[in-house]
Amino acid sequence: MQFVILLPAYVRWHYGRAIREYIGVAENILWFLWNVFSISLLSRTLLARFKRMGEPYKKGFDIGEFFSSLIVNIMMRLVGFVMRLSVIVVGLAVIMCSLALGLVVFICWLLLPIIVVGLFLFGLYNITVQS
Amino acid sequence: MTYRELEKNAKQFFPVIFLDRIIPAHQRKAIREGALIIGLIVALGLIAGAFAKQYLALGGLSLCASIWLTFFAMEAFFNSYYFEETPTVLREPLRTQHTSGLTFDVAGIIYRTPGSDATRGFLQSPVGRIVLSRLGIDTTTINMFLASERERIPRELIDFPGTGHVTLSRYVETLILSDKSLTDFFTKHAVTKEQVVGATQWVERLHDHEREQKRFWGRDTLGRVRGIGKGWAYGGAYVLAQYALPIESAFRSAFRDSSGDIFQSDVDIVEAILARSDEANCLIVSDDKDAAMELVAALSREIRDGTVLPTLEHKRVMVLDDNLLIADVGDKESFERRIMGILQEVITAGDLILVIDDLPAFLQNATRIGSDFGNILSEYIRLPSLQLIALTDSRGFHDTIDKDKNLSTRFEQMYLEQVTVSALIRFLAEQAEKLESEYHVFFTYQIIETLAKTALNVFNSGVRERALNILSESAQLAAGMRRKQITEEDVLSLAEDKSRITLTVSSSERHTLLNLEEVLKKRIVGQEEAISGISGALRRSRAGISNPKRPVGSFLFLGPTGVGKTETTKALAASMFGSEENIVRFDMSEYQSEDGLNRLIGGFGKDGMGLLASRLRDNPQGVLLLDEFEKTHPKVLDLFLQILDEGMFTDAQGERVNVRHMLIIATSNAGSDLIWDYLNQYKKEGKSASMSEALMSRKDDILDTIIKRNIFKPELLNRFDSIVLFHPLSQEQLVIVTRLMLGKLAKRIETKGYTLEITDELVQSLAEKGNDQRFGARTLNRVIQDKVEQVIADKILAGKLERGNKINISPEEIS
Repeated sequence: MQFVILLPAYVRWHYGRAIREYIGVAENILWFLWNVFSISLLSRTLLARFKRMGEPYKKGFDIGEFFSSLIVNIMMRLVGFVMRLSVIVVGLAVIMCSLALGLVVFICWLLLPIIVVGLFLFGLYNITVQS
Repeated sequence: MTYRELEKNAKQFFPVIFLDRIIPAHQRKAIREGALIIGLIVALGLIAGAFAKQYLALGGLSLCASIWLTFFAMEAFFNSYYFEETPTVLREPLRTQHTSGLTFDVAGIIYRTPGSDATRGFLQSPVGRIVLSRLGIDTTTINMFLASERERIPRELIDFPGTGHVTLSRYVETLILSDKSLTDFFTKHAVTKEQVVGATQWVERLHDHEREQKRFWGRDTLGRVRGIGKGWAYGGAYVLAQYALPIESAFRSAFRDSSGDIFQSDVDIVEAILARSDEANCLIVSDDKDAAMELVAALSREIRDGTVLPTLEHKRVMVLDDNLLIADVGDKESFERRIMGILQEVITAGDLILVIDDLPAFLQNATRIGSDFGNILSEYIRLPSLQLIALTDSRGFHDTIDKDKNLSTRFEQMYLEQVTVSALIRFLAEQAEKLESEYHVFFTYQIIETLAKTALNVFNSGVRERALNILSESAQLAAGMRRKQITEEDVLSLAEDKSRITLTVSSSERHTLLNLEEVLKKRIVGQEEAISGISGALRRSRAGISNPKRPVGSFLFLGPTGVGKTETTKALAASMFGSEENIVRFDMSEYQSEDGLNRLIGGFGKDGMGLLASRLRDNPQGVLLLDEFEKTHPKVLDLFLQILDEGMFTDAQGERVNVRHMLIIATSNAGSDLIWDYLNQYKKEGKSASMSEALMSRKDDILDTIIKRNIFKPELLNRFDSIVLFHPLSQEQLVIVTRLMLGKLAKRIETKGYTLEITDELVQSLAEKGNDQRFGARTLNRVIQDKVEQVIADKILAGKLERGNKINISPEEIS
């Protein structure tokens, strides 16, 4: 008797609650990737000096010292910019790929009952009929 | 919510519970993994062209794939409901939660509930069996109960009060309240309702923890991976890295998962202090260093989980190894240069929270090499960009930090209160699970509860760590003896060893307690009321039914000199604590002046601790005798208000002193004149009642007069367990006392090889000579010393006695 309720309950779940939960898990994974590649933080600090490295501007005005510090600091910002931008670009690419993969998996999920039955019949056919 | 509604809501879980019943999780896993492995092997064979009939291999691969996909979908179906109520720290907006109003475990019980017998459903369910095994109740006992004649409670009568979803513990609590037969069953097995709920919560936490671990797709797990480039916006701390470690590595033991919520409110306070715009420095004052470090670790976990205030996001908590720093640099100049470099690095890095785990010790070590580190530190920590957490115990705080106002005002102080029983039970239960898998032993909830309560009762500081030591030692002990079950005796005997306090009642002590009146009457003459009052109070205490947060007993002995007050105290110490040596005696007349309190509990700014504090620390269990209590300073009396009430006091160093294992006896002559007056009147009237009874009838009048005379405040008198009136001794009682005293003397002489003959004439004569109403038995004692002992001494010295001789003293010789 319980078997009878199992199948319809599963089907209801597969095309209802499971889809909502799939989207929830996908959102978690995107959130994870967004955090792993620190996209918010790196975007906010895109032009900051790399690891706060640089030369402090000394007290009193010395044009040579000033430009020396300025160049070093600009270089550090540039290094920081390149590093951060690289991570952001890679991160966004990974997120895009994940989105695409997620879409494929989602379609597969929708077709899963057909795929399972198809694979089963195909397997059975190969083993029994062909041999 | 009614039971019917709950049942209706539970139905959505039934398909997966049914699924789990016909194909349990381990079988599903085995099938999934088997299909995957076979499929992979076949696929590899296909690629390598290893099969002659490729269509067969392809068919096999397809079948494996279909089986794997079927069981994958099945698992997803199961997990969808199984993880529904798993609590998470980080919010997941699209998560399906709280749709049913009950947890998976509760649905599992309802699924197994036959007809209307909810109790049977609970007791027969796997989770119910686990809860009962944690309470020390085995399956046979449960089955016997289920087979017995009992009243079944109709489901219609079960109602779940309040809002929120029905958790396992809420379900069980409601069930116990509704079903009297179940309550009686637990009572019969000495299990209280609170213990059932506590054990259920333990099982619930265990299940939640398992689910948290399995739910790898949740944000709580995914969020723990540290992002790339998180530190690029912050500076490096290369010098600091030589002398400090991240808290995760520095205090692995403190960095335990899921124990953070024990300190949740404290973590919030530290977080708020560190998030301030300036002077964001927190000084945690705690006598339990591990607890303080665990609090810091809990904060670090929150930072890692991303559940902190924005100003603390991405921060790293580093613990400075100050001993290594001082040992490495050696001299003042290098030390100051290095520490200033480190502090500057912390500021420029921008993502560091520095922890100094024992600030007073660091300050003292720096002073030894001639550095005023306190001054350097106060200059840096006033800067808004430095965030520092310093730890100190209360003694170090009072002795070192509080004296340096320049430094102490830069910190926001946070006092970490002693852990509560429920928090300690939770902590120990969590640790017990780890010990169980390590040593293959089993802890019941009652053992954990007993240990938590005992630890809080006997240890003043380091409670969590000491309790944990006892827990792991008991596991090792049982494992060594090839026992699975940890017993109450195991943990209590370990707690006794560590605290030097006797916690278990031995059979000889039990015998003494039951016959305490008889034991005391052998030494105390008359005073029947006093003896029965004291004996009753002590039995209540040792039976464990008195308040554990108060001293073992507290008595005020009122009466004239020499009537047996001190003798009663000695007799109690000897019978209850093994020896008269276990008396911590204070002559309170020595504490009459204003500085009396300072001398007892220690004074501010003075070295050393107070006499009362130090002697009680050395002797945590015994009798505290406070002679001439009325003569002490009112401030000292106020101290005893707290001691009698809470069984604890705090000395001048801020350390707590435990008095809960002491029997407190205060003696006083206050009201002796009234006792005399009443008894004289009683004699004149020639009433038939005994002296004790006559005095008891006037007790209230005597106490009222004592209060009117401002000797003791009523609130102090009320805090004693009993106020015992000692009456003067009658001539007949004095004769008995004389005989007892001579008996003691005879025993002393016997050790020298002589025998004292105690004749009735001698006893009568001494009792008459020693009859002094003002000084009671004291005069008698003096008479025995002056007359009898003197005569014996003279005889021995004059060579009139030889060893083995009987000493016979006639009344004439002592006249």
